[in-house]
Amino acid sequence: MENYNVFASRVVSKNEPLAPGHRACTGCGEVLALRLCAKAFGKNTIVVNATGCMEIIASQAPYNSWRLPWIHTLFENASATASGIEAAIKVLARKNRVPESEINVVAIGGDGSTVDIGIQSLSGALERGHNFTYICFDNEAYMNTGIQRSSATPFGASTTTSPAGKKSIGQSTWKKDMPAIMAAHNIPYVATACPSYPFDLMNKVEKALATKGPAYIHVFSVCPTGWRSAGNLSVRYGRLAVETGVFPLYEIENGVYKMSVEVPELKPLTAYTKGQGRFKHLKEDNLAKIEARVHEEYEKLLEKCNLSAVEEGK
Amino acid sequence: MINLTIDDRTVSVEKNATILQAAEKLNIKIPTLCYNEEMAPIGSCRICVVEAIKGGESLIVSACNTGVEEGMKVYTKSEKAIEARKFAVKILYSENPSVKLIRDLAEEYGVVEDINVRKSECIHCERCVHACRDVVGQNAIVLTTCGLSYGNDAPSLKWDFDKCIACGTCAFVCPTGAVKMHDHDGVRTLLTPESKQDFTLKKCVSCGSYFMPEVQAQYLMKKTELPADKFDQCMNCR
Repeated sequence: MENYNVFASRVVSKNEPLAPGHRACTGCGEVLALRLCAKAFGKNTIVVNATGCMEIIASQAPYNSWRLPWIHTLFENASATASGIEAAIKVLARKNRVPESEINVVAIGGDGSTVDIGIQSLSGALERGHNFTYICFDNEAYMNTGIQRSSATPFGASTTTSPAGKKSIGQSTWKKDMPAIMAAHNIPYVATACPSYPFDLMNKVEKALATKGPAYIHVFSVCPTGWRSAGNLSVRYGRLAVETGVFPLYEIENGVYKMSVEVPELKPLTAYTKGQGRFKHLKEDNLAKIEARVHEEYEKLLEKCNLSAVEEGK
Repeated sequence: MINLTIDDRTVSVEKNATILQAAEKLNIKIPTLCYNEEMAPIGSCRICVVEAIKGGESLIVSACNTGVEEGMKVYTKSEKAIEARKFAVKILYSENPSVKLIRDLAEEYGVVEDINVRKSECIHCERCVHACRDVVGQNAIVLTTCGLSYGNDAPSLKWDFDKCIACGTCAFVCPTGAVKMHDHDGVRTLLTPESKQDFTLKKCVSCGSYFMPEVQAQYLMKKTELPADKFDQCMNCR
């Protein structure tokens, strides 16, 4: 991946479609990701926002942080609403009621509304092939209602509905592999991103918007409140998640896998889990078990990327 | 405030606005290539040309660096404007038919022809030149143009690798991907249209990962006047 660390940030747009003054927690990694995404959206974008942290913090009645057309929907129907908007734009363009210039439709939601409650409407919208982009901000639990587990919560994490104790080690199931489920719909573009790699994130959003047909981006968002981690280390935890192989960054373009950030040697898992209150109770054998699984998944992904590279080479 | 019409629609904008900014306000799309809203306009690609009528005189001007004037009439889709834009696209296409961005434009304006293919991706839009000069302040990229002192060669970009700090801003702003940069095995490679340069990367003393080119660390050390040990560790270990 390109590593533009010092000066390139000065040529990024200073336009802020997500206004400051919203009510996100100190050190929120999710709103950082949303802000970067909003910069990449451009002016002609309609945002559909499922219920979740990003809806709660941006729209305390009677105020709203969005400088773009914005619709709040329920947990389960963000993609259905986005499909409706996309179909309406198509009809209006046919009747010459809206200009020909392209209008982007973006649906955003948290992991709860994407991985758990909204997966059926999302799957339907992808299957129908609507030209829209879905962005999932994954903070690995239902954070705004008080840290309840979701199916994106990683193994061993302690939440209020999967508390760690004498007989429980917290979440007892593994994290659902959502990008793989999305890729199984054979849509043109699937990617994972993280706000700790801002240029990579913005490039992927731009690529997804330019894609004709549905696109899906899974954004890893550090949540200091829910993870019981220090607010000033959110960006570092995002980077460590990538460097330890917990959340590899890759993209799938028309079935071709490509690693965005190549990590020559994975760091030990403890670099990531250390300092997070939700993993505090884990013993060495638990961590070893998780690390083995992380490495196994990472190897599987690398294999897919290598296979794609070989096929492309032909 | 200054009032003008664009495609017969009235708009009033600030005194020092450009035609492109006024059109943006009306949501009229003018294609651009070398324009970047965070940098001063360059005006070298000529894709954004429009027809402007002021004082009864019809002129072809580039929208990105022409200021608005009271009572100005601008047409973005008139026959004259489209003809001029077609010509600009044709020139770009004849030089760089392999670039997807240019090919899409050429298809849109119907100027696709079989012309002899030159394999460069650089369209000489000068974005990297201006970014290096204005944003980074290093002025490591020079565009050699035609003229008495340069001979009859086609314009080409020359990198001064003594000044270059391998920050990658040129690769970031390049609209066609002619400048590329990638890190591998402790070396950062900068691929420019005509040359290739390797920079050694600095190793973090704590975790051993590569994080910054040596030249860049030296440059930042000089610029910020901080002691050398501030640049020993990567972002995770600091």
